[in-house]
Amino acid sequence: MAHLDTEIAIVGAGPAGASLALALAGAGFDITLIDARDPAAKARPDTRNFAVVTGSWRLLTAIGIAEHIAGETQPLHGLEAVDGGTHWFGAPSVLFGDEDLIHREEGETLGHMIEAIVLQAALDKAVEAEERIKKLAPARFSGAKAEPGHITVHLEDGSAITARLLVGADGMNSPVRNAAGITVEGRDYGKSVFAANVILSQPHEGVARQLFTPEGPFATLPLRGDRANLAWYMKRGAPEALAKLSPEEVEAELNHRFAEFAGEMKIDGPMGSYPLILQIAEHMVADRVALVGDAARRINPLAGQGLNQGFRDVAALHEVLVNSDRAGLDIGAAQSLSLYETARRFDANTASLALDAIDRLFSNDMMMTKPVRTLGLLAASALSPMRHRLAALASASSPDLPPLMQYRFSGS
Amino acid sequence: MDEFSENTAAAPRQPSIDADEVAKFSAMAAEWWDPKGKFKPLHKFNPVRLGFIRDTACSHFGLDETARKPLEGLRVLDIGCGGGLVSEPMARLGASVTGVDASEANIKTALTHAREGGLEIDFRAGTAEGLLEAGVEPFDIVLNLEVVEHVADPAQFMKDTAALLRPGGLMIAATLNRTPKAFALAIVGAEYVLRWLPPGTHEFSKFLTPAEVAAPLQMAGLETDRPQGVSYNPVSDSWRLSNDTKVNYMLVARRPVSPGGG
Repeated sequence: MAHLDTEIAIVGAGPAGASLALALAGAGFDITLIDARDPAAKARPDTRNFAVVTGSWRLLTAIGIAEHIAGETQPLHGLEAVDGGTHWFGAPSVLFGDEDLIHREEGETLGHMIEAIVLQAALDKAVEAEERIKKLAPARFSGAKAEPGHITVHLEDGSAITARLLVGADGMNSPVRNAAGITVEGRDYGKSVFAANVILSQPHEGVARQLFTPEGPFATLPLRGDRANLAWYMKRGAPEALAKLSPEEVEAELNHRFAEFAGEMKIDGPMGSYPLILQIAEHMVADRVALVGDAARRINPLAGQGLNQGFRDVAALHEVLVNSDRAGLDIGAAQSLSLYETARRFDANTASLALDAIDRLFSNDMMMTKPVRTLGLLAASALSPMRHRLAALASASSPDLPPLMQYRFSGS
Repeated sequence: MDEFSENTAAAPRQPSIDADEVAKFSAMAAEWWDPKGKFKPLHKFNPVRLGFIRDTACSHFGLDETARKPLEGLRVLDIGCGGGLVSEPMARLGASVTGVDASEANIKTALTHAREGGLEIDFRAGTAEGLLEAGVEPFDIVLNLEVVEHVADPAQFMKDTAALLRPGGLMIAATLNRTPKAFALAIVGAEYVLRWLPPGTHEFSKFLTPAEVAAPLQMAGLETDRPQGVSYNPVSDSWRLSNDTKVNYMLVARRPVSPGGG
C-alpha cells in the first residue's frame, strides 16, 4: 500500500490519548485522533481530581500543557501517613517531602492536584492548535483489520482510515482492545471507596495525608483553597450506603471519626462511591495495535493513579516509536511494538502487586512496614523498604524513565 | 531488472558467488521478516547498527540529525541485502536505495515486503561485480553488512564494493572477527547453544579480522576508521556499541574526494 491516510490513528482523546497525540505530533508524526465526544457539546460535569506525580508533570511540561494549567493546580508538597491502629491520636507518622525526590530539579514538587475538567480542557485546546493532529469528532471506532504493512480502521459512519499503527486510548471498555482480540484479567477486591470533595477547617499546606484504621485507609488530598479530595476505603456496601446519605449526615459521620485527624470537614459538591477493582489487559499490543491508559489497565480509583500509569504508557510508547522511526524501522511492526510491551509489563505487574498489598493492609495491623501503606495506595507502586526509592516510585522520578518523563526533555 | 539478471548470469568471473551459501539463505528467505523467527537475532541487532549508520552518515555528510528523512537525496547501495532488513529503513530515512543479493528468493521476499510497506526500492538479484560490469553510477553510501564472511573471495569482494563508492562517499562494513571469543559466541553460542541461527550458518575460517577487511579497501584508495565493536548483553537481551571488537564489529571507510588528497 503506497499511500496511507495517516501514520498513527489514536482512538480516544482523554488524558492518555490526547497527550500521546501531542507528544507524537511534537516528534513529527502525522496523527489522526478519533474521539466520541462532540466538541460542540458542553463538557460533561466531572468532579474528579487527579494527583499528577512528578514524572507525569514532566510529561505535561514536555508537551506544553503544564504552563497553561500551572496556575490552576494545587502543588503537592508532602505525603504523610499516620498509623491508626486502635488509638491513632499522636501515633507515629511518616512524612515525605519535596526534598525526598531523587534527581529533583529546582522548584519541583512531589506532584500537583488538578481537576479533571481543567486538564481535559487544556489538552483539547492544545490538540486543536497542533497542525499535525487531525481530529475526527464526534466519531466512533467500529473495527480494525491489520494487513501487511498497515492497518485499516473503520468508523461507525462507514468511513475507513489506513494507518501504520492504531492506538487504543479508549478507556476500560476499550472497543479497540476488543477488536484486537486482547482479553483482560480482572480482580474484584470486595472493597469500595467513598469519595467527595470537602472544605477543611485547617490549612492543608499542600500535604496529602493518610490515616490507617482497622476498617481501612482514609485519605485527604489537598485541593486549591483549603479544600480536599477525600477517599475512604471500606468493605463493599459501606461506601455505597454512605454516598446515599445527605451531605449533613455524611459530615456528621466524617467529623465524628476523623475530625481529630483532619479537622472539621464540610462536604463541597457531589459524593460518590467506586468499587476497588483491577483490570489488566493480557497484552499491551497486538498486530499493529498498542493500548495505553485505562484500555491497558484499570486501577480504580486511587487518586488518579490510573492517570499516572497512563502517562507512563504514553512516555514509553513515545520513546519506542521515536527510536524506531529514527532507525528507519516500521513503527507499527512487531519489532517496535514488542519493545513497548516489554517496557510496560513490569509496571503493570507492580500495579497489580500494589493492589494486592492494599487488600492485605485491610486485614493486617501487625505490619513492620506500616509507613509504607500510604505509598502503596498513593503510588500504586512496588513495596520497598527504602525510603528514597519509595519517594521516587511515588512520584515517578527515578532516573531510568523515558525521555518524556526526564525533566531535561530535548523534544526529539 | 531482468536484463540485469541476465548480465550477471553471463558474467565471466563471480568471486562473490558461493553456491552452497546461496542455497542456505534461500531456504531461510521466507522467514526474513518474522521478528520471532529464525532471524530474531538480526532483528534484535538491527536497531543498533541502523542507529550507527544514521549517525555516521549524518556526521560524514553534515546532515540534519533531527530530520525524519535525513538521508534524502543520497543514493545507498545495500550489498547482500537479504530480505531488506537494512534497505527498508534506509528508504524510510529518505535514501534512494539499491538492494542487491545473490539469492533470487531473498530479492523476491524483499520486493514483496517493501511493496506492502509502500516503499520504492530498487532490489536486484546480482552481485557487486555484476553491478560494476553493468556500469552503475557509484553510490554515496555503500553498506556492506554481514556479507563478507559468506563470500568466496573476500579481498576481491571488498575491492569490488569499494569501486562502487563515489569520491567523498561513505562505506560501512560489518562482520565477525576471527578470534577465539567469536568462535565461542557466534558459532558455539549462537548456533549450537542458543539456537539463534541454524547450525552451519557461519564458517569460522571465513571470519575476517578488521585488518583483513581494511587492507583491500585501503588498496582501493579508501581511508578507514578504527573498527567499532558491537556487543550483546545477555542480561538485558540487547545489543549496544562497545569497544570490544573481538566478535561483531563495524568498519567505516571513506573515499577521499580527490585521489591521494584528503
